[in-house]
Amino acid sequence: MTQLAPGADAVKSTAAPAQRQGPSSWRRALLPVVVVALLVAVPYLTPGYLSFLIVMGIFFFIVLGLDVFLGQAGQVSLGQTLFIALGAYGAGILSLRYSVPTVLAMAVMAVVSAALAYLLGRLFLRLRGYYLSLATLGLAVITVSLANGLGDITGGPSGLVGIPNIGVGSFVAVSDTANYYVVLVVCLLGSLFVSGLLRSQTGRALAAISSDQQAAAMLGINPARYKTAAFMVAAVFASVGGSLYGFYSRFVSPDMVGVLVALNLVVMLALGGSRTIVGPLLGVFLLQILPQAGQSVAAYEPLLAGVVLVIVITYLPQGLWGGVRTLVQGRFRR
Amino acid sequence: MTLLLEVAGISRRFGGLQALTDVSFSVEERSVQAIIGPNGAGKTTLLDIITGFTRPDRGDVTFEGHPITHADPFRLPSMGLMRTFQSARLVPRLTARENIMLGGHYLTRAGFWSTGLRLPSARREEAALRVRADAALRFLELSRFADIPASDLPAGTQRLIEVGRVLAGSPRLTLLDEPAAGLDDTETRELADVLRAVKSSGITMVIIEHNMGLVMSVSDRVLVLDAGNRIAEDVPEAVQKDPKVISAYLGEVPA
Repeated sequence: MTQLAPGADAVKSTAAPAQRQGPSSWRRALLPVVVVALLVAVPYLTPGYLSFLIVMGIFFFIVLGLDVFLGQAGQVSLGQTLFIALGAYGAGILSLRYSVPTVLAMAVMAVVSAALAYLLGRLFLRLRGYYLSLATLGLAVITVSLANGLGDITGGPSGLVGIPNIGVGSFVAVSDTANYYVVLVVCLLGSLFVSGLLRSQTGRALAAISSDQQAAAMLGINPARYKTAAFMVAAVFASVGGSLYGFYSRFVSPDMVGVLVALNLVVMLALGGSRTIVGPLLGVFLLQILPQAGQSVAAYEPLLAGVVLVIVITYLPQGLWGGVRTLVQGRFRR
Repeated sequence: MTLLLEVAGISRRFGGLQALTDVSFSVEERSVQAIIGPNGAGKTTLLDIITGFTRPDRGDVTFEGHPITHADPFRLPSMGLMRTFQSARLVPRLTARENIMLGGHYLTRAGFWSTGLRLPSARREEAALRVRADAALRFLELSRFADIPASDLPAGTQRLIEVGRVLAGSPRLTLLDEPAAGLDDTETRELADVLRAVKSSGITMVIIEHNMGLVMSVSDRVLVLDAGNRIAEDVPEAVQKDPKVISAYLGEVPA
């Protein structure tokens, strides 16, 4: 248990930059502190759900990255599993077969994913709307075929077994509790980064591109450059998420990077609502909890997810969280 | 007086339609050049060619001596050239202030890293942008709309916000595409005041406009297009009396 202390400290210190200065804003600063304290206490409050929370955290992190590309820049990628696979298989193989330290392996694959996203970005981002979606869907199909087909490298359909747990030096995150803190720190850092983007000039430039590329260009915003950078952010988040998943479950299989997973990521974002931190969290939670509700429901999971998605997109285009916020703001105005 | 913008021999054909035929004009620094003409005269096409959205079949556009005929639109603001659109093209989900802040975006350096990591340099730029935007809002007397999403603002206000965006960018030259379209008489008079103030702040302007009162009150020179041809280019008083201009607007007058 003593090895957990550094993780908890890191969590507290990352929360500090989120606070605003000024005597009147201490109430606003209090909320993140309470939330972080609760998150730190979770392993002691609800030990039974740790595995669920770790996987949920990893998917939240991946969806957060996708939010930069899809929610903020308005570009649909159905191929994020390519980068999840790069992160999961790449870091897994590097640490398993070549004894590369886990964190270094994760970082290397993040850089590789960013580089590939840059090249694909140059190639794809001239495409618009449905064409971009189709091209990225192609990436998802290629990914799962390669995961199955390149058996010598990936272990084929039976997967890559025996990946080590993540660790730094002599510290190795073996227990669920330790893994939970690792994922928690990564998620908090990711949330700070994405919310920083969202509220800054970069977020506004992405919003301009998503609503009107010509008008954005006339403001000196290079759409190709911004879209490529947003795609790279999404790729790095997916890659790191993939690596974390491999290190946690110590196993990667083609199921993990299937086409349905790629679709689910988009569903999670649309369901919860984009351009917020709570939206992706809500979407991931709902889609992750569905299979937990019992075997009878699990069989209908894609159907249920699909129906809910259609309803949300039709009636709540800002997602569930966006809908709740509109409702609350409407109350206050009156 | 130095020439800021030179448009030389521009021709452009869309399928069977000759949109522009050998159109030339030039704009002196700190002046206001109006472009008028009946619907379909090729005014917006000319603006699109100047700002790089449409390429001409023939002809050249030069800005401060630099050829910009084939420049990417996103490079123009940093050269000193911005524009507005016929119907305001704001970002609907951003507030009025945030939209105006985008006008100064090209002056900033912070990218994904520094804004995501909330570096001090990015925060300073953000604060500076905000100051510029608030100044533009005060200048336009629109401060009360600062925190309202653009999509909730009336069309006339949206167009003024687009002008505010140009102010925040303070370019050398701005091109305004029908700024008075859809405004009532009071709003048009307010717009004329704003444009005169913009001019006196040292920004050169090219204005496409239908409202003759506005054109005559703010512009130094007027270019008249009809069916893609330049039929007159002179000071406002002379253009008003030009028989070719009168017939283009009123149809053939029997002799």
